[in-house]
Amino acid sequence: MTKEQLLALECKGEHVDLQTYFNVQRFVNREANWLNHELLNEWSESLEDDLVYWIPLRENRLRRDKTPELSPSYVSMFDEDKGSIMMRLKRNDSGMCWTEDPPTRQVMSVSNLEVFHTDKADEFEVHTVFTLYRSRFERDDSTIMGRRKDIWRKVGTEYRLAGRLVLLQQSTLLTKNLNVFM
Amino acid sequence: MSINFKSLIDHEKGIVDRRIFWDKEIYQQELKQIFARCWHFVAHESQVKTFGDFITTYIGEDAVIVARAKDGSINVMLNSCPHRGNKVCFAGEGKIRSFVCNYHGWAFGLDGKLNGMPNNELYDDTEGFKKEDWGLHKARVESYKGLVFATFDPEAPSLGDYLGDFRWYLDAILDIDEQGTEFLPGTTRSVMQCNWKFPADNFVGDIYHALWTHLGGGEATLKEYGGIVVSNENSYQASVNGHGWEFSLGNNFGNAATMGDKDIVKYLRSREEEISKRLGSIRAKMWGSVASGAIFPNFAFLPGYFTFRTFLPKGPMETELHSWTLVPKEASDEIKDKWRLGTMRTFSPSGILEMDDGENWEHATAANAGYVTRHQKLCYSMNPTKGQTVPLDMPGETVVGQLNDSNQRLFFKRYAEFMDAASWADIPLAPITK
Repeated sequence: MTKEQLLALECKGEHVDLQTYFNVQRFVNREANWLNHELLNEWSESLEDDLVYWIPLRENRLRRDKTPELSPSYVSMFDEDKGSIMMRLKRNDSGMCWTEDPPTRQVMSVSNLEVFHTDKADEFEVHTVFTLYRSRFERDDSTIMGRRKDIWRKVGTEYRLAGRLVLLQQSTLLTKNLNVFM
Repeated sequence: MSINFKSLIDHEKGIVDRRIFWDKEIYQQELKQIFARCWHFVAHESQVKTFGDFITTYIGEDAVIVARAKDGSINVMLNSCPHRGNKVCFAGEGKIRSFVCNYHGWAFGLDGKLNGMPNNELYDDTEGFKKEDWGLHKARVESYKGLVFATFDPEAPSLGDYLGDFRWYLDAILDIDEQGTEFLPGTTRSVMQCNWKFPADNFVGDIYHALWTHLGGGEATLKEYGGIVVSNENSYQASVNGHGWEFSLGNNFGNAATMGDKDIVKYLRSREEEISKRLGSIRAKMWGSVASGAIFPNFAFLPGYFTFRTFLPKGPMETELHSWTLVPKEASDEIKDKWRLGTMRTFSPSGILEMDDGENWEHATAANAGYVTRHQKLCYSMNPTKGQTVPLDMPGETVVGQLNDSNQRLFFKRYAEFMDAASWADIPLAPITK
């Protein structure tokens, strides 16, 4: 999987049938449920080995400016493969991550699901939007909304995440960090 | 308001009054006494390479445009139309021929001059109106080896005098070869609910926190190297005019190693000899070792990671962080890309190290809502190497041991000097020796 492939996902394929849509939805919801319950080992094990997980920065550019807003070579918020995601999880697992204790409470609400065929029989283009609400300690809170463009791959009876482009809507992240996955 | 800041800050004992992290009136004084006076980093020259390139940012809370004009000059000016005050540029970066205000259409050149407006004949018979009187208000601009600084104070000394001998240290990043440095594309912007001085004093001289705050994050990448190693063996702090750098000369490339990419460490090692010939062995070691630094008041960096960042004040309890990744121009695209990933995974809002910092600074700020809490003092007194002599020839006020509050005490000493000064005439500058 590459970032270029994710940038090219523009809902141009054929819609999947009802059964496939239902199956994909089950796995998309399962993933959100894992993230909401901080079941990050289950989540990371479900990721494909060639995963690309990309959250680029957003920029304010004038409409007439032809410079692409998103580019694989720009600095990003997340630009991960499976190995680097596993590295990040070690921080949480170290038992010495003081600022995650007490833990963050989060809700990922995922909707607007659209599923398209791609030119590969076992890969599906999946579009969703999400609201991520986080609450921490007594009163810390933040809400982030975004759009996701994914590739999910059918492996046996499962659908597994192979690529994700998250488009946040804030050009200035109005919160101190992104300490969770989305 | 007349507060004597020397009474709030005892820099010799290292006692700092918490009200400077909270009080709204003190904050307004800071905008005047510090942000309207100092030289401030606004851009790297690589962000505004050619005619028409611009970025927008802030000096204190003043919105500014940084733009490259036709004659090659870099101009820094208020992003506010002198007609009714609206912003004249809402883009963060781009290429443009002129800035046109959305309100009435007044149009300004890349040098800030008022070029014209719709129905300009309306001003033909307006007594005393001259277009040259109504350009965008401009700052003084000077560069140091790729970094562009600006000040709105006509009385400020030159940038060279402002940085003074700190330039000797900065060269350990900015002058490692003839090719120089550049910023990778992309400005990371995020907001922390903290006073701007907490991140600033952290970068100027607080490696102590890494031993505790970053244990979890350090475990992720440094476990195989034995975790985070910091000591006062062969390490130092240096301070010039409130700017500061704390650094090890012992562990080679310790900062860089935290990014978890062996190729970056290999690259740093491959260039050590050449840099040592150019700058001497001290600064060749400072390039990537466990270290942090900051230029007064709010511009900071980390050797090895080469993250550069400004802590823009947005009120006493809010700071907007803008950060960039600097790379040596001569490095291969592959190595540059590894730096892009390495700084992002450590020192960005998603970074396994930066994540913890924001939490600490926010709650250190918020605690001062309590009247009693606010009237307590903070302890900046750590001084474990008192009386030891620095055995190396390095400029500025230097002390043995990077685990030390020395640079932070001198940061707050500088802070008090600015806050109490009636003008630049009252603000001392360290002699230049290098």
